[in-house]
Amino acid sequence: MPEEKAFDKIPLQSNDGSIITVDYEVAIRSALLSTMLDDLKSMGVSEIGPVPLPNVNEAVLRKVLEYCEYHRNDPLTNNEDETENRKKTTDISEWDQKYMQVDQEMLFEIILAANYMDIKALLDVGCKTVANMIKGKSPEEIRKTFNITNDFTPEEEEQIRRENEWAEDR
Amino acid sequence: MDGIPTTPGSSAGANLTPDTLQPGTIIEENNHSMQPADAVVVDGPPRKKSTRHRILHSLSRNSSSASLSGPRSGRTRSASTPYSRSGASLSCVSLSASNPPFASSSSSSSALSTNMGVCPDSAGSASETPSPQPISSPTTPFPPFPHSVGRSHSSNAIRKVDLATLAGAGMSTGTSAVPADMVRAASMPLLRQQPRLRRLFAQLWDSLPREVKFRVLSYLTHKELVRVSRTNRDFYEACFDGQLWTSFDASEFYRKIPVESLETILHKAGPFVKHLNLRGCTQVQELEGRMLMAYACNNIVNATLEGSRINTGHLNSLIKGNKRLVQIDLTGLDSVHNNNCLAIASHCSQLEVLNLSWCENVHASAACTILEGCPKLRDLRLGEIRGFGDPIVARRFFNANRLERLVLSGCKELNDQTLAIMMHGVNPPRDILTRKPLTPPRALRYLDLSRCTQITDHGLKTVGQCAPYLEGLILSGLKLLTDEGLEPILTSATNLAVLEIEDLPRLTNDLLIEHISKAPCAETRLRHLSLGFCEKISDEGVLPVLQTCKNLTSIQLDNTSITNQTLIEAASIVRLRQPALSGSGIARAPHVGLSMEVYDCHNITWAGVREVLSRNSEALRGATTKGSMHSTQVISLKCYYSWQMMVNEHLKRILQGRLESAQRLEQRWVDFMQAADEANTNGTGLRRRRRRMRLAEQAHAEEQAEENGENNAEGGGVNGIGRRRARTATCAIM
Repeated sequence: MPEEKAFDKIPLQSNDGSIITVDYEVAIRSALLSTMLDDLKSMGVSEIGPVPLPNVNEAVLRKVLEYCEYHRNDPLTNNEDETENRKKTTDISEWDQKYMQVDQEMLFEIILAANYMDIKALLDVGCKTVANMIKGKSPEEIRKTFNITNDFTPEEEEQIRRENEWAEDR
Repeated sequence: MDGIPTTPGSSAGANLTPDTLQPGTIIEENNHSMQPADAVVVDGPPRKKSTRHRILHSLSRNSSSASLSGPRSGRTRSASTPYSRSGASLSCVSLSASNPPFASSSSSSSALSTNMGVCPDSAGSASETPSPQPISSPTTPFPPFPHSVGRSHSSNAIRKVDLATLAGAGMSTGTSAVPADMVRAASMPLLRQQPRLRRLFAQLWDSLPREVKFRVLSYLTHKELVRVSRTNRDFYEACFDGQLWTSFDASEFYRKIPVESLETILHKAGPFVKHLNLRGCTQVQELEGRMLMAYACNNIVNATLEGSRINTGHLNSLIKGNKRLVQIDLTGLDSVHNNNCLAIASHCSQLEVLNLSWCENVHASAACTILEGCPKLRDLRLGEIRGFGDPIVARRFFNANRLERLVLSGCKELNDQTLAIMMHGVNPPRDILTRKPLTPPRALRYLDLSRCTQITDHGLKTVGQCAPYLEGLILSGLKLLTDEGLEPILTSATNLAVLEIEDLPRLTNDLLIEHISKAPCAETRLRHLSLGFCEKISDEGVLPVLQTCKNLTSIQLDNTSITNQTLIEAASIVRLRQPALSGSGIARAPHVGLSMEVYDCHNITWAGVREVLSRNSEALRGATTKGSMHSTQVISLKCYYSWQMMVNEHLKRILQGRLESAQRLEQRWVDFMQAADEANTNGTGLRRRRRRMRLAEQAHAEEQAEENGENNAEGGGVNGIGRRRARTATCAIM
């Protein structure tokens, strides 16, 4: 790399037009930006204007960057398919838990943004948070809590219930 | 671009005439106004511009199907909530993009969004800067402002915190802030009166792309998935998608799951299943005639069928249908016959790990066939398999020198002759001087010969001569072995990390002093040593081992003749292991560095155990004091059963870093033990001593029970019960 320090600060532009400038280390938490910056670097580009993120609005972007900022020194993990060996653990670190204490809409937008910006760790934390919301609830409770309508016919429901009785243990 | 007002004044003007302003127009405006934003990006030389374009283009193409910009691209959300975020946040954009000269222009827009209860974060950041917009008509704006904030409060409980702070911020700068927006908000009765509906979980969930949904669901266990599947059709489809069942592990519910569900799941997940664990699922035998598992699953990589009562024919078709099998566990299946072994040998070219232990109907020669047929096999477990007395079988094992792990535990027919053939073949060429066989070294790294009772020193010597890569060796229960048989192994196996020589009554201290502690593996490699039931072993032999084996993490000394001296020595050795300070100068937390099993050693008394306890306390003190050079490793101890609870409790407190309570427990226990000792001696004052002992015991029991009380710290009641129970228990003993 001829210019290691080429991208010191990366300006990011949310879809509502505001520009947030972050450090390089923060930006590369997002695999999307990291790949883009690498590509630009390899093309010898040294200056960078605002990078538009058309799927992310300012509030969400700030929230996402807050996460990246906090985790800027974490080791970057590139191995994608850990999924198989991944334990079904839904433990979330204390800071992350606090961070995720937002309303559902924000939570889902964070997840979408993390998915779009390809920030695996954040995506995991978000998905775990949603999974924890579902965990340990009976189907009725899930429907009630999340306003999901039951669209099974009574016969179907009965059949499914009978078939899956073994999973109800409490 | 032509549609948008270009100056701040005119944009405010647009806001002042709200009747003409529909949400639709705002959206349109915004679509235009995004263009200059994009254009800002594209600056610099033309060449750069093109690359940028390409990359940015690909960026937006990358975006997932359902995206954050969804509402703008026509997602139905805004239909249900006419007053949706798109309206609010978009108008922000139109404002900010249309008056670039004003640095603070965004403040007005975000203050607007505050009122709408939409983008709290952005408002927080921007509200310090007063709005540049001059059109303040002080009479109109203020009543609706707090009102609308309050409204969004009630409709949006979770955002409360954000909004509360924002409301404050908004108020402080309120005098000059964005009356134009207020006017608009006030004059749009429809929007104002209908509080913004919160999007329902179901809608949010639907907005997630498929892969993200699966990611969420992948954190649920099988049982939870099945439960969730009952909520509605969408979830049912999602939860039974094969992707989520790549690893089907029935160990949690193997007794409950009826064969119908097993069938449904295996059928749906079919080709996705990679790891199949049906351990103990006796229902599998009923699958017969209903569905062949083999037809549904054809990509299994790991199969555990231990105790599943799968029948011979089934197993055969499963083996034939799954060419990718890497690991098969068939432990204890009577239905496994030699013809299954032939099927494995001819179909499973990828097989690496096979467990056929306790398969009564498998003969050692069938295992040989598998070994010859599966070129990648490296781990073969053949506990209690018949037929190892046959020299031909042994020879086939010798020829296929590929296994890294071989378990022959309990193969009673294995004898010195066949073991020797497995190691060096028949009549190997020998070195003229040393008489050592000149065969290539065995690949074996782990060998389990426990309970092969015919093996003697003679047979074991050949292992020492031919298997230099051994890392684990289990020789428990070979009652005929003496020190002599183990010597060659200890000298040649330089990587030996695990050595289990339990229940070898002929072993003496000499082996420990002269060989184990001087072996090349002793200093760095040896981690686990098991000497249980070697009754001749005493302090004399164990001490040198403890001193030289610096990386030893577990040692089993149950039923040996060791005394307290071993414990004292172990404590002082652990104290000298790596200092507490790590490289960064921060003390490490205490952790278990050595686990010792010293139960049923009649020479161990409470004094020795106390030594270990106080060493552990010291480790904790070392970890908490700055600059201490003591090690933070502690010893976990398994000792006489009636002390064990106290020892466990003590260790728990140490690991939790509660020095004082650990020391208190130790002290109470010591008092009790002393009083008990005194009480048991003869002489005057017997009753007084007995009473003192009871008191000490009570104090100790309370101290130990305190923990239970703390754990169930729901209320004093629970605590009281815990204590009372402990007390009555001691009374009963008395």
